[in-house]
Amino acid sequence: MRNGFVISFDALAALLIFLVLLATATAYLAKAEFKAGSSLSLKETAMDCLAVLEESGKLEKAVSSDRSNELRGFLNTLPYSICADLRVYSQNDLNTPALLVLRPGCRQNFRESATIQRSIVVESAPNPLFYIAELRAWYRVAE
Amino acid sequence: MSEKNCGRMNANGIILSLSTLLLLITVIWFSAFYSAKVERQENNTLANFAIEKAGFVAGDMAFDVNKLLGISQDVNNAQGFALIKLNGKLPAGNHRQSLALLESFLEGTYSARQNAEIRLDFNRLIDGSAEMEFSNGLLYEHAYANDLNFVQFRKKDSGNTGALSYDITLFVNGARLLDSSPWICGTEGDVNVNLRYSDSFGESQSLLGCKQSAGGTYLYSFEFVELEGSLVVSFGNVDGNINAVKVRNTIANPNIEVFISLGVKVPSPAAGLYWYYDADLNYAQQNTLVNRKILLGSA
Repeated sequence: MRNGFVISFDALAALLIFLVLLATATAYLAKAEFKAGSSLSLKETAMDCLAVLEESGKLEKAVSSDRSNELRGFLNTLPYSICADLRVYSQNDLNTPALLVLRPGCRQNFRESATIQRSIVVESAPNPLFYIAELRAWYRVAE
Repeated sequence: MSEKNCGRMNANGIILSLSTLLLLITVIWFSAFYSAKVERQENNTLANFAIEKAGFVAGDMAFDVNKLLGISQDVNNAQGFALIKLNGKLPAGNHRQSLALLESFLEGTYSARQNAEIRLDFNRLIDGSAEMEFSNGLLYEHAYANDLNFVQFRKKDSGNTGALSYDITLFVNGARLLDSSPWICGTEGDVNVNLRYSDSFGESQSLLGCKQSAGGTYLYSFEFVELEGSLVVSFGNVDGNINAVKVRNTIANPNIEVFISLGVKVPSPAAGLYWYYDADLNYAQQNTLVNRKILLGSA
C-alpha cells in the first residue's frame, strides 16, 4: 500500500474554520492604521508656515510689492518631503488669488493634504486692506 | 490499532482542535481590541486639533489687532522681576475706522473661511483709547482721539504700580527742541527713573539715575522751535495714580511723530504674567468654544 494523505470532510471543515478565523483577525489588524498622525503633522506644518510668514512681515511685503520671491524662498527651506501651495486672496475677490506660489519641484499629485487659512492686514491709506492667505501642504509623492 | 489507542488519538485530536480554536479566538479578540484602540486614538487626536486650531485662529486675530494699534511688547519674567518694554507712537492715528473694518472682516469673510462662528467686541478699543491690561493689574493706556493724545502706564484701580524702575526713551521726528524743563532729580526716592530724549535734528538730552518718590509729582516738558504745544512726561502721582508714567503730546502739528519706548521693572507675580487687550473674542467651531480677551502673550 502506497503512503498518502487522506483528506476527510471534517479535516476540510477544520481547515476552513481556521482560515476564516485567521482572515477575520487579519481584517481587524489591517483596519488598525493610525492616519491622524500624518494628517495632523501636515496641518501643524501649514499653521506654523503661515504664522512665521505673517509675523516676519514676509506676507505683507509680498502683497504690497506684488512679488513672491521671498515666499518661494521660504517654501524652499521646508523639509524636502513637504510640498506646499500658498495662495493669497484679497477680501474683495475670494475666487482669484492675488498671489500664488507653488513650491518649486512639487506637483499637485497628492492623495492627502491639509489646508489652513490666516488673515493678513496690510497697512494702507486711508484704510488697511485685508487678505486671506491659504496654505495647502502635502507629502511629496515619489515619481 | 487497538481500540484503546484509537480512543486516545480521538481525545488528543479533540484537545488539539479546541486549543487551536481558542488560540484563534484570542487572536481575533486581540485584533478587534487593537483596532478599536487605534480608532479611539485617532478620534482623540483629531478632536485635539480642533482646540489647537482655535488657539491658532485666536492668535491670528490678536496679531492683526495689535498690528493696527501699533503697540509692541517685550516682556521678560525671570529671577523675581518682570521687565516690561512697550513701544508706541504719538499721535497714534485714529484707530476707530480701521478697527471697525477689521472687526467686520473677521466676523464675516474670515469667519466663513474658517468654517467657524466668530464674534468680537472691540467697543472698548474704538472709544478713543486702547487699553492693554496685565494679569497683575497693571494697565497701559494708549489714547488716540484728537483731544486725547497720550500714553499712560498705571495700576488699573489707581493704586501703586509697584514699579521699581522706569526707562523712558523719546524720539521726536520732524521737530527741533527749543527748550526743556526737567524734573527735579531726587536722590532718596524708591523708584529709579531714567529719561532719554533725542530728535531728528540731532538734539539730545538725558537725565539718568534719579531716585524719585512714587507718590510725588514730577513733570518734564519739552518745547519745540516754531511749534505750539509741548511734550510733557509726568511721573509719580499722575491724576491720582501712584507710581505711574504719562507722556502727553500737545504739539499742534499732527505730522510730528513722537516715538515712545517705556521700560518698566516690576516684581514678578507669583502666578506668572500675561497681557491682553480689553476686547472680547468669541470663537465657536462645533464643540470647541473660546471666550476670552484678545490675549497678546505670557511670560
